Amino acid sequence: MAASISGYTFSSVCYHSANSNSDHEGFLLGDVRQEETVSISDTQISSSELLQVVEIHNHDPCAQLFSFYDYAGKVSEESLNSILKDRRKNVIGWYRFRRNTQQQMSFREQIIHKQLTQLLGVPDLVFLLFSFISTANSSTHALEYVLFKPNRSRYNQRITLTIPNLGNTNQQEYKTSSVPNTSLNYTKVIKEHGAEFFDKDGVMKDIRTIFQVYSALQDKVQAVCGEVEQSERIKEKIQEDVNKLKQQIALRKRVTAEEERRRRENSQSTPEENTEPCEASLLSRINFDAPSAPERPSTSPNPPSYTDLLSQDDNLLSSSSPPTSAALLPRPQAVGSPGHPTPVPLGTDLGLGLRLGMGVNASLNPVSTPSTPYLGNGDGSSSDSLDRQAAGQEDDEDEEDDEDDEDEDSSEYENLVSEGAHLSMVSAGVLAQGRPAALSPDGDARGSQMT
Amino acid sequence: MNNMSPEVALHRISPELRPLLCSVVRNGRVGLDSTNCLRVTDLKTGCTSLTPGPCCDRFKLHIPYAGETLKWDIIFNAQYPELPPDFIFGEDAEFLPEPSELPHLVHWDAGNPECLLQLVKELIQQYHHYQCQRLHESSRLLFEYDSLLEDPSYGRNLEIYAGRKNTWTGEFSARFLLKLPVDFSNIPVYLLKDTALDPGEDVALLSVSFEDAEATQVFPKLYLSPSIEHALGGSSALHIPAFPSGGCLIDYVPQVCQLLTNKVQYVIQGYHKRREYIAAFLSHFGTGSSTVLSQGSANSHLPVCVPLHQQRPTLFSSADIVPLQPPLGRQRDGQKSKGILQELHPSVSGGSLHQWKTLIFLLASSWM
Repeated sequence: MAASISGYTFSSVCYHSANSNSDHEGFLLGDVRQEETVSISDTQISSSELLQVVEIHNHDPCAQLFSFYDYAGKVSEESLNSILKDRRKNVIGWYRFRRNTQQQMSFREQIIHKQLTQLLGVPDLVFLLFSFISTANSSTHALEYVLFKPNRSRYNQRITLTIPNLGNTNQQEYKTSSVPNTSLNYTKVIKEHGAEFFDKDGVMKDIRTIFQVYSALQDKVQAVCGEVEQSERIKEKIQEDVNKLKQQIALRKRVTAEEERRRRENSQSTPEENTEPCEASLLSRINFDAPSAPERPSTSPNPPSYTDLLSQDDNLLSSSSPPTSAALLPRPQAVGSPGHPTPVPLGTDLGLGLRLGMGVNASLNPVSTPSTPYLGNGDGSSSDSLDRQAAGQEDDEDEEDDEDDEDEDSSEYENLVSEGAHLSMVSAGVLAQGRPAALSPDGDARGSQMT
Repeated sequence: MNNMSPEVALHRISPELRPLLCSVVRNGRVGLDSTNCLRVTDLKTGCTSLTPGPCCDRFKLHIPYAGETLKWDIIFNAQYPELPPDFIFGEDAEFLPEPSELPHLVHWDAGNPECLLQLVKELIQQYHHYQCQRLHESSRLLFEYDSLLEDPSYGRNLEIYAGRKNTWTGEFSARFLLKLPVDFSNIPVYLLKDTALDPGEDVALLSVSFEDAEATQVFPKLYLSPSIEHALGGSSALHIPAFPSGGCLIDYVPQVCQLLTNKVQYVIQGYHKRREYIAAFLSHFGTGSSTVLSQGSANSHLPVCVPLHQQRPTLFSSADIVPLQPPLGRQRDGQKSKGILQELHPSVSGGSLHQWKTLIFLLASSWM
């Protein structure tokens, strides 16, 4: 339950009381209404709260004490009617003013209140107690007020009394319906200096400026939002294109694999007749694959060309070692493959002043005579098979090895083979030994196959 | 709380209300504890600050009750002195006496100076009933009260203060204050240093505090009026027994009464025996020899000696005899005390007797 009293009613009661030279009492007129507050929160859909509010609109002071009750506190209904007359139905409480006393209902007040509740038929009759507390030297006077709502169990139950615009206005909204200041001097000063703060519409200039800044910021944000949207759409389109291209690549690879498989099947039945066609098809395959092969990122900005590498390797080569072409490079194989030789531990001196661990992408076999490096391809076959591979002739085993290779790597290897055809013939074993680790990206692609 | 003397309070009160307050502060002895008077503090006014004084018309009245002090606000209106006062019963906000039980309120007579005092007594009586009703919260304490009520010697002189129920422990405490029906009329003369001070009524009050409703923590105390305490030999002379565990007041109170009665009888008998001895001593040694009562208490342990020159008549027949003089003092009835010599020999005028002091050695063992 809550109570509210208008400022002018409150001040009127205080005025009557303060001017009284003794205790003072009277009746409170007003209305009782119920407020229902519906609140919506995340936890529940809605909740309603009923609050009973007592509104004090006016007061009716009594002319003297003991005007409607006797010494024992017994209320006289006749006296009550003569005082209240037709305002009896508007009575919602009564008040008492007494100086320098405790804020507590007295013995007689409790007896009177009980009888008034019954006679007036107001079960929630309230009692407003005013008291003036003054210091000994009368320098400070405090007006205290308490609103009681006595009931059967507790006679000192208090309820909050609010007075609009009387309190901490910093925390509350100031009611604009208050009476304006009608002072002429005040109006004159405001009119004289108001132009510095207010525009012609009566709105503060600062407020308008702030609104302009706010609008500009909003416009910028909207523009940025548009740009972001456009860039997102472009990015989305590009992403779609990339996906399509990827799908095309995958499709073409599948088609290529199918064709190759068919050719192989055909070539198995007529291998001699199909040599040139195979070579042509190999070349065509190479040519076909070369453009579409994705470029591998280079490990160094200017990777050394193959000729440079070869010239470096020349210094490491023995004089008796006949140069072999890149086409005769052993086929790379993964570690652990059936034909893969036992890897030589790092640091093993192969008799050439070289040590392993240079990332050579070749299978190595133990070399008994450095002058005669092994030219094996790692799978047990002789270098002749490499020659035959370079010429386009492939064995079945090689074909199987080819099939074991990854599709993306096959084209790159073919590239190496095609490049090697143009280079000077270098001994494969020497090359395998002397090939530096800093190769082109194609060499790095076979890093997984290195030992 | 600003303590003020009655005179100050009377000076500041509104002249129309002064007679009412005068009877309260001067004759205001209510309840069992008549040694403590009613006190008035916090004198305030209900008039505006521009009203010339004295115009105080409301004050706080301190009332001793059952070992507690009730602080009630009494509110008059100086502008309407004929109207009855209003009361605020302090912490006892639930105390609401029935107005019909307060005849001095219903028929308030501002012209009667005793009206306010009588109204306060009626309120205290209603307050006593209110406290007794509160004992219903504890069956154990209610039993104690009912058992005491059955005995008129205790029930009619009983004050009860039922404390508030402790919200933390749930314990309910109460205090019983009883006026013990012990006869102190035959206690010997009490000699006061300040003869102007009224020793007051001789009374013994037994206070029994129950700290819990099950009577497991009971603390008794015996309060004696100053005259009785002095007559019995001080506060250390009498020790009451502790409240027996599981006991009840109806058994304990008579026990304390009997103890006190025995002590009083002992003191009286000792006094009489000393008187007889001194009389015999006087008669044996004639008018020359004498005894003198020791000034102060009737403590039988005090030695009594006879100066040598007074023993001369028995030892030296030619020695001068110094007449005895009784000690000055005031009897319990307010009369000047007569010396033993005067009592035994009325021919000796009191005016010729001077105050003197003589020690007589007695055999303590005969009076122990």
